[in-house]
Amino acid sequence: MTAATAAARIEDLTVNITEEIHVKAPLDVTFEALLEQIGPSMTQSDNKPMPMKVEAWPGGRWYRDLGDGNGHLWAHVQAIKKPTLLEFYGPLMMSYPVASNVQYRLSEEDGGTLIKFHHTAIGLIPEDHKAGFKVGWSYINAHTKERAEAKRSQ
Amino acid sequence: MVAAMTTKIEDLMLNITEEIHVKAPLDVTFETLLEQLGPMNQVGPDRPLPMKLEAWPGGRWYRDLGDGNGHHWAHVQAIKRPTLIEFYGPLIMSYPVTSNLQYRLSEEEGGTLIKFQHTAFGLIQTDHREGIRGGWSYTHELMRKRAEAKVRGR
Repeated sequence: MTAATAAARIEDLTVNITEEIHVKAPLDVTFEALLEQIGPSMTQSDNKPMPMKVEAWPGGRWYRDLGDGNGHLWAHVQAIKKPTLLEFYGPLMMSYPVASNVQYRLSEEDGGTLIKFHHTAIGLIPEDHKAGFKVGWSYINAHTKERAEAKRSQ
Repeated sequence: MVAAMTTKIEDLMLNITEEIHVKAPLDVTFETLLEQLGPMNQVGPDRPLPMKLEAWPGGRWYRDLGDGNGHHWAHVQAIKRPTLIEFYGPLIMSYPVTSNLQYRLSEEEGGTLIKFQHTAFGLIQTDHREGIRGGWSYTHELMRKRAEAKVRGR
């Protein structure tokens, strides 16, 4: 996409995805599973491993380590309050001018944990990426749920 | 907030400038600025909000809540002691936005002139837009008084 094909409306520059994930596992287990799922246990949609590193502290990096100093930086940790909040800002996998905010807010609910997920972005975002995000996040979030519930049953 | 979507490109921007005249030498003023933005930060009378400022290129400006928790406001984009400190990052805004903050210091008769500029682009909430200007002015006034007190105390 080039700037010449940039959207004319502000709405076309934005992404806004929300999802609520109900996890049958305690808060701390769910938070731990989340960090694992978006970190070393990250997979692509075909279940192919795509391990990431999350430096779980303010300003820490969320990145793909390709070794020997190579890799892809997705975001920095904007806020972290274990085990109730994890927030990122950064370009994610988008190689064009864009700013994203990704939030995971966890709270206890009857029988487990509710994760409120929110991804907002603004920038020159191609339509195919917009469509792909929703699917991609749902996939990751479903795996987080599975991982947390499997831990609980161990 | 995405729900309060703007319709004009101007609504996506923020531009605040301020000139602060400090009756203190350049080096004292710069040192005091780092203190004020860092461990001495406060958001109101008797409302300390100490921050950590890693004063080197790429260093973090963040709220350390201990045990790996906290809020990351920005990275140092440029630093040239004692004439420039510049940041980029989301600051306090938990939505897609990017800010650039600049403090440019120069000698002037009787002290130091600080030229401050905060520009931002993103889905900026109205209440933040209104509050940010006052917040910076408050910080700068505390910093000015602190720097001038240092000189008087010599």
